[in-house]
Amino acid sequence: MKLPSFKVQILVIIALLLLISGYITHAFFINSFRDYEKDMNSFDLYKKTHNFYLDNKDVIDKEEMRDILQSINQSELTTYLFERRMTQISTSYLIVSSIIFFLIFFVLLHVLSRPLIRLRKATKKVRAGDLNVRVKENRISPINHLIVSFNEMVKELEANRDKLLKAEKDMMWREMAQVVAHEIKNPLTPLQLSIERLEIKYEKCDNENFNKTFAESLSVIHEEIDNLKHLVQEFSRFARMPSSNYEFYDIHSQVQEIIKPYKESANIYLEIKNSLPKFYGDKLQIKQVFVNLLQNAMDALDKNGKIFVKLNYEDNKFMFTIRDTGKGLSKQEKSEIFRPYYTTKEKGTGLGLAIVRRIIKQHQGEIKVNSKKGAGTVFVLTFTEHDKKLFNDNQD
Amino acid sequence: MFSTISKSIATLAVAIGALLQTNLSPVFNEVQIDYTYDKLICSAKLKECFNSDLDKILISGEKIRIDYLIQILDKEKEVVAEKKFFHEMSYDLIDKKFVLFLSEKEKYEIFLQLEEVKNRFTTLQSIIISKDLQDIESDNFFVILIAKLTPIYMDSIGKEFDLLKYWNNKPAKFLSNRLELKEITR
Repeated sequence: MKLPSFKVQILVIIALLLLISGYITHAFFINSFRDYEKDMNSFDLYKKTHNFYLDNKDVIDKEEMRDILQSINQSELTTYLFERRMTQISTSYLIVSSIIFFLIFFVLLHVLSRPLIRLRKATKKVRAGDLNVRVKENRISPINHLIVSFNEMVKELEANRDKLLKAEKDMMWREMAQVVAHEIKNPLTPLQLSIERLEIKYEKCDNENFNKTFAESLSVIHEEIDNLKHLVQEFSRFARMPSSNYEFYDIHSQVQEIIKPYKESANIYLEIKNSLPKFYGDKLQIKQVFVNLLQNAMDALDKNGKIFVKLNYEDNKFMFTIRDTGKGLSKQEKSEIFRPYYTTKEKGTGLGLAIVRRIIKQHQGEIKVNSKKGAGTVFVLTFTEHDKKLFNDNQD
Repeated sequence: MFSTISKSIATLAVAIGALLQTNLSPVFNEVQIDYTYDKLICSAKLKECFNSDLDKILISGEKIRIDYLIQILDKEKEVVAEKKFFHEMSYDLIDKKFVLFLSEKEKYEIFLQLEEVKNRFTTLQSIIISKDLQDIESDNFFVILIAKLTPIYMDSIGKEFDLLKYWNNKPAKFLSNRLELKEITR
């Protein structure tokens, strides 16, 4: 840690000198005068003089003796009062210097601790994802260089995040263009073949065969057009995420409602561990997460398969688990399932899990997958109860 | 080392204690006001007026004096009558006795114990103020008692020593409630 500035050091030294001089002055005056008074009293001048008078009162003038005793007493009284006065002054000085010292001490403590508090708050914000935060620099603070480094670090993080986002976006667009081109090309071939077949049959004017071929071709054309439509719809959903609407709500009832229709075609078990507080999130988006995960689980199940949904709240964290006893995923599949347009299904778009991950990220949550080929798959969603203000700020 | 520190702390504690108890706030207690045959008779006792420093001064042989003032005020708080007097005491360093002069009675009293002389020194015993209070409009009036320590002159330091500083530099003061003549007439 760097030393405080020169001015601050001088201030501390002055305060310390004040305190020490106060203490020394106090000790010196009190002890010196106590000793002096003791020495004076040890002479016992008044008693000796008084005894001397009593022994010789026939020859000593009483009034003269009274003046002498008065002078002796006055000198003792003056010493006593002076000692008392000095004690008062030095004690007052010590008290005042102690107050000044502690005032300076607490002001310095405040000056030192305030930037640390700011730094701690800023770190919390960074942890919550806010990279716009900066800590106010304070030149007299000994941790100013730490604040400067922190600001530079956050600035760099922000720049890197922007670069990363841009690169990710570019990559996604490239990937998406490839997939879209491929997906659009696929239905084009059957469409082209169907039209060619129709042309041939039309030229031969074979009515019987033409009608049959026409019907088949129409069916293929319809199906491929539906495929293209579905693809375009999913693509639009992925590209345009609706704006979030966060609220506190009962997640237990929501999940019960979601799994109700699936129960008719699969064995689904819902388990609640601990009582759940209100969940803070976008109801529609969370519904989409559960629907996508349940649909994936259903698709992976064989005839007697089971799905277990578990909702838990512990240590300020919501933990939702969706486990199926389906066919499971290979290592390769597991590493790619969240990639947009990656699918293991015959008719999947590969966007479902990408959307799920995106929604969970937006809710400051985490998604993990565990799977083994032939042993089923488990998805674990974790949501930490963040500071709601930071959470909302982050959404903005 | 430890004994030095504890000694210093003890000294400091004593000093702070002495500093705090330096200033006294004397008050008049047991105030009694009666009216009989055109005379107002007042008795009172001054309390909380001595500390160890003043005790030391009382036995030094110096003449110590308290000036008293009793005033009768009408309902507009205008002075209608007053009486000034003093108590002066000194310690006889040869005969080891206290001599107290009461100016209102114009007499000396002798005491052998400090506590006894302090008690009489601060007591107002049936002080008479001659005034026909029947003249006072609406029969309402107030009584004020004031006591003030006077400075002493010390030859050894060649200057005055103001004893009033032990009383926070303020005279002791008592202002009665609004009094009605018929209530105090005997």
